Formats: sequence, structure tokens, C-alpha cells
Amino acid sequence: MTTIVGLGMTRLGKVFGVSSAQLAATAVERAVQDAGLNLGQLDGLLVSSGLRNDVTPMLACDLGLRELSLVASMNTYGATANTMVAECARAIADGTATTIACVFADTPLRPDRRAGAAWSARDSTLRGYHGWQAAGGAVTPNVLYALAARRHMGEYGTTTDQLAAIAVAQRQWALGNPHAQMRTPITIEDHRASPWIADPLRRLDCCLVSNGAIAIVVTSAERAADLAQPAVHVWGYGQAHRPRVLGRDSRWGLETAAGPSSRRALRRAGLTLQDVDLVELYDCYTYTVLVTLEDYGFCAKGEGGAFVENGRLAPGGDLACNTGGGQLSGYYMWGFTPLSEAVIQLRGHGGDRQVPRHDIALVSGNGGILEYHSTLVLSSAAETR
Amino acid sequence: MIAVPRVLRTPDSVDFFDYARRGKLLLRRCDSCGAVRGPQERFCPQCHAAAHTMTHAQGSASLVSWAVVHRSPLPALEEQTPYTAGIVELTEGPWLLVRVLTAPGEALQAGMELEIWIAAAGDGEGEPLGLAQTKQVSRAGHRQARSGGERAISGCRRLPL
Repeated sequence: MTTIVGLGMTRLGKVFGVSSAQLAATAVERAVQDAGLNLGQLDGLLVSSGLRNDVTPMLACDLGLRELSLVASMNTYGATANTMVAECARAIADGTATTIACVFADTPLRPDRRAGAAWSARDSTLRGYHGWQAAGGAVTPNVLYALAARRHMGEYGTTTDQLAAIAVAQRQWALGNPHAQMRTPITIEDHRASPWIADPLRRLDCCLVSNGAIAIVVTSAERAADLAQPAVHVWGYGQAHRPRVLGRDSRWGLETAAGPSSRRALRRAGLTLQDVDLVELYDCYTYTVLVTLEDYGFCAKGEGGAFVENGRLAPGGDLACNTGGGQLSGYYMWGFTPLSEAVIQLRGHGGDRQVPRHDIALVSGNGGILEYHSTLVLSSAAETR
Repeated sequence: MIAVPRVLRTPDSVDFFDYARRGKLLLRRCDSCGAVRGPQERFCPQCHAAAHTMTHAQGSASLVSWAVVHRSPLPALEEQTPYTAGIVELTEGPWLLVRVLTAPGEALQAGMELEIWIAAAGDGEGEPLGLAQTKQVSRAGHRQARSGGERAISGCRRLPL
């Protein structure tokens, strides 16, 4: 079995004056130290970039690694963190490598411009048919996720207050997370007063933008037994992808590939949803959480709005979800946001936000505009039931 | 005033922009199964064949979804906010991501009928833009046309279909 034994995080958020590569190196160094290993014991390195697209396999050189048996840059967009862990599981099982670092780093924030500008298109980039469509203004994730959310609202009656319930619950979780960027409580009223970005999405429906890096170290369960931290075992992984279909009868926006992805991961783990203690969901927008909960089967399709109401996802609620505040209130490190929080919780290191039952975590990754999906089932126990 | 951001044609979009300059929205009809696909799709989404015959949209569509954009994602559209961006389904089947022109205070709903047209850039330079508009806007436009003068949503010239 494959086991996550190290976690390394840099400062996250408005971190200026350091490159993505420097941050990535720091995160790997910290993850290796956290595991009780040294850099020389790594024989695998997987790197993942964000908006700046500037972390390369040359990180191995920056880290002074002499010889490796596995190196790759991976990209499944927001689903990458989990597909990296699945790649580690295969590489460790077939003997390709024994001890692999996986790292994400990005530095899209600049001190001289607003956070949202990191995602803006540039007029100079409008080329070809896709550029022509973009020129109409239905471009960039804010607008496209708004179009998805509006479809759901029209089809199932989902409301903006229901999306607000997700933002409010996650902010409550963030209050207990020292890594979280947003630690001032918010209410449904605050959400109603939050400025529109692309109606039906308000600013409080949108994730943060963060500079920083997070790394994990993965090895076999046997090696993990001798290492420094409580082990986090990889019981299951799955992925499923539905590139956007733009034509009649498309269910894009209403339904994602999260369903088949999670079923594959749970089947591999030999578990069902009822066994899951906590869920860490990719939450680029509040709506992403709602549609993923539906597609994972926590509630029926179309009932996500009612499901998230009344504090169900908040501390003390029925379903521990995005327990560090997620990307909305914690930090935006793509798939390493939900993955890192799952590791922290399963180790029992959650401090003020620790979930009492923390044996099994379900972790999602979502990329593109609800197009690429990956799932992990992680456990603090080595043996599957 | 509708801004028409400058878009550059690419080698793989020459046929699309040649159609657009004539006021037509290019579609592709599959030679194997007859399914109509969007101009960007190299292969038929139904049967995966590449061979096709070029055709064009008749200009009618229905609204699938929309967003009122307050934070412009494009510098060229910053002075246009708030504007409505939508997904529309052409009568022929393909979807278009497109700017949607609405009448002041008009409530939108999925399934509403829309009209699609191609607008030339105000300065006549650059590639034309696709627009969708509600029936209410169309009626207002016709009144404007009857009262004389070329129909102009200020700054845009409608290319004849």
C-alpha cells in the first residue's frame, strides 16, 4: 500500500519576492523533513504548475538531487494533485520508485494588481475561433462557472442563499486554521452584500488567489512505519473526465464526471459513502462544492441546495466538509488545498478544527470548467476493512 | 456602444472568419451521419468522422444559460459592464458562447428565443463579432430601422446575412 508520510507548506497568500520554483523547493524540503527523511532519500519527483506554469522537472536540479528513477511534470488541471498520488501508487507498486515527492507551486498574485486580475484574459491573446467566442465576454472561469450555476438554478431551483451557506460554513472552519487567509466570520447577510462578479456568483462565491507551494512525500506502507508522522494511507483513487460538450442535450454544468470518479475510488478502497468521516472538496466556487456533493451521491441530483442549508457543512454539522476553509477561505493551492487538509485531519493535527472522527477522508480534484475530476480515499489505518 | 475586441485569425480559423466577414456563422455538417457541429469541432461529436460540408446558421437560437458580468475578464469589455454573456443553442443544435443583448429591465429565462447576428467592428478593421439578442431587442431594432437610418447598435454595423 502507498502512504503519504510528509507534508510541507510554505507561507500562503500574499507572498512576494520569491519565485514559484523557490517556493516549490522550500515545500519539498519541508515535506521531507516532516517525514523524518532527507532529500537524498527521494528517488521520484512529480511537479505541478498553476497559472504561472513555471514549475518544471528542473526542480530536481534546484534540490540537488543526484539520481532519480521517476521524474515528470503532470497536468490534469485542478485534478492534478490526486492524479499525482495515483501515479505514485502505481510507481511504488511496480517498483519504479520508492520515495516520491509531489509538489505544486504558483505565484499568480502581484503586489500591484487585484487578485482577480491573475485570471483575466488579455485582449492580445484573442485568436482563432476560441478567441472569437471569448471576445463576446463569456470567458474565464468566473463567467463560465456562473453559467453552470445559473443552469442548476433554472433546472433545480437552487438559490444564491444556498451557495452562501457553503461560503459561511467554510469560513467558520477557516477560523480554526492558522494557514487560512480569511479568518473573519461571515454571515448570509454578508454574502448578500458581497459584490457581484458574474451574477449569479458573488465575490464570496469565488476562491482566493494565493502564492505559495505545498508538497507531500509518498512511500510504501512498510517504510512509513518507521517514519516521523502518523501515516496517511492511500486506499483508493479514481478519475473521470467529461470535456465540455457544447451542443444540444449537453448536461454540462448540471452534472460532472465526479460520480464515476468517486465510485472508482470507493470501489478500489472497498468502501461506501457511509464509511467516510470527512470530505475535502475542490471548491474553486461555492457551486463546485454543491454539484460535487450531488455527483458523489451525498444527496440526489438537484437537491444539493437544500442539502447544504442549515449548517450541515459547518463545524458541528452532519458532514465535515472543507474543514480548513478550503480554497474559498483557506488558501488556493489547486488540488493541494483539499489534499493537504485531508492529511492534516487524518493525522489528527487539526488543532481547533480537528474533526473528532477522522479515519476515512474523501478528497476531490476538479479541473477545467467542471470537466476533469479525480478522487482519493485516504485513511489513517493501514488495513482496509 | 458594443465594443468589438480585436481578434486575430489563425490558420485553422480562416474558413470561419471568411464566413463571418460575409455575416454568416459557419457550421459543419457531417458527411457520414448528417449531424451539424460547431465551427471549432474537427471531428463529428456523434460519429467521430472528419469529412464534412460547410453550412451556416440560420440565425435563430434559444437561451441555455446566462451570467451578468460585473467584473470584466477582458480589458476591452471593462467599460461595457455589466453585460450579459450566455450559452445559446442554435436551432441547428450547436451551442455558442456569446454576448447577449437584452432590453432594459428584461427578465431572462432558459428557453427564450434569440436572434443571432454578426457585427462588424465599428472601424471596419479586425474580425467581426457574434451577438445574440432577445426578441424584445429585435422589435426595438426594427422600429429603429423603420424610422429610417441604418440599424446600428451604436458602433456596430450589422452585416447582411
